[in-house]
Amino acid sequence: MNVTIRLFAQFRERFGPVHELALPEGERLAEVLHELAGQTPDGVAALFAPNGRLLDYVIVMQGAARIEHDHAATLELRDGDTIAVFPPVAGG
Amino acid sequence: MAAIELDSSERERYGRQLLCLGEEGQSRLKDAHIVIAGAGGLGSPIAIYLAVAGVGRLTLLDRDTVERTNLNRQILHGDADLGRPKVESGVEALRALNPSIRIEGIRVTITDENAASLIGDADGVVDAMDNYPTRFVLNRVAHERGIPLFHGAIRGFHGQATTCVPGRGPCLACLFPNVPPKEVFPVVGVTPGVIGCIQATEVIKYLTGEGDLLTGRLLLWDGLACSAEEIAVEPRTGCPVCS
Repeated sequence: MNVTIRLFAQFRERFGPVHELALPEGERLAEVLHELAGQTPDGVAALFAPNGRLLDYVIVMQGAARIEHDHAATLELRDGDTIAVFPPVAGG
Repeated sequence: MAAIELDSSERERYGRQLLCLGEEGQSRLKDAHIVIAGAGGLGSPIAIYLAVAGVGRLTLLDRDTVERTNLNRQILHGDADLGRPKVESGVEALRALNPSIRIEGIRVTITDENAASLIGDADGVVDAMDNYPTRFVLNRVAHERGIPLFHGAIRGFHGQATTCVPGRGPCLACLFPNVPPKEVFPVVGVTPGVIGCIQATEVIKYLTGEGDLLTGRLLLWDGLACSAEEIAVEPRTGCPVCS
């Protein structure tokens, strides 16, 4: 299946803007993000806490729906999914 | 027939945008009260463009004084304003730009306790803050009042904006349930310029009924790539503010 991961703000500078991935069926969201993050020095720490959970403030969207982090570990991706990952920027 | 008449001076001042908004649209701006929360990097372009557009009443809220480190982006203030309350120098600058509207500045820290009275009977609140706890206070009060929150935030060359209209899409808490860590955020002045102008555009569109608002859409600006993308956002079931 084909899945698109789009990254924004400082995650874009760290991981690149978009990754088009060909994945086996049944891949889970958190695993895919962990593997993608691991391709960059310190990338895992930018997205995940030491306990392996996504950092609280990281926003992950599947289409227009925000994914609760408790759900990310078990959520199976679907062919054609677009996943957006970004940190809310805070400055004014 | 417009609810509020424009005088001849206003017809001249706003002549070029009357071509876009018409007399009724312009009179809607004149009849409106907008609260701008923050007189910094975002608040500066927002306040300037809403003032010159002729929004009839603007309330500027900020607690800080002008520091030299502000001056790369906070274009309401200049060197001569160092040490002055931002609402004081801001109101002065805005009155110089457009003396025909009502502008008030309140030096205040926005809190859970005072936010409702500060917002009062405003028609909308513009989020020009630099922190999420205060944004969430504004989001809650705006939702309770049934008025829009025009959100914007920036970091470096990146920015985001969305417009939360109660009953017509998600609120800020649907999108951002948790607060990012505090930091001294990097910023190039043009970034709040871009995002602040988008927020001011949203306010003008909302008040005049023109165009499509950023309701249910998060706009993400990447100044380095010079690209704007958007993500559709749904209201969140169980949102503590709006569901």
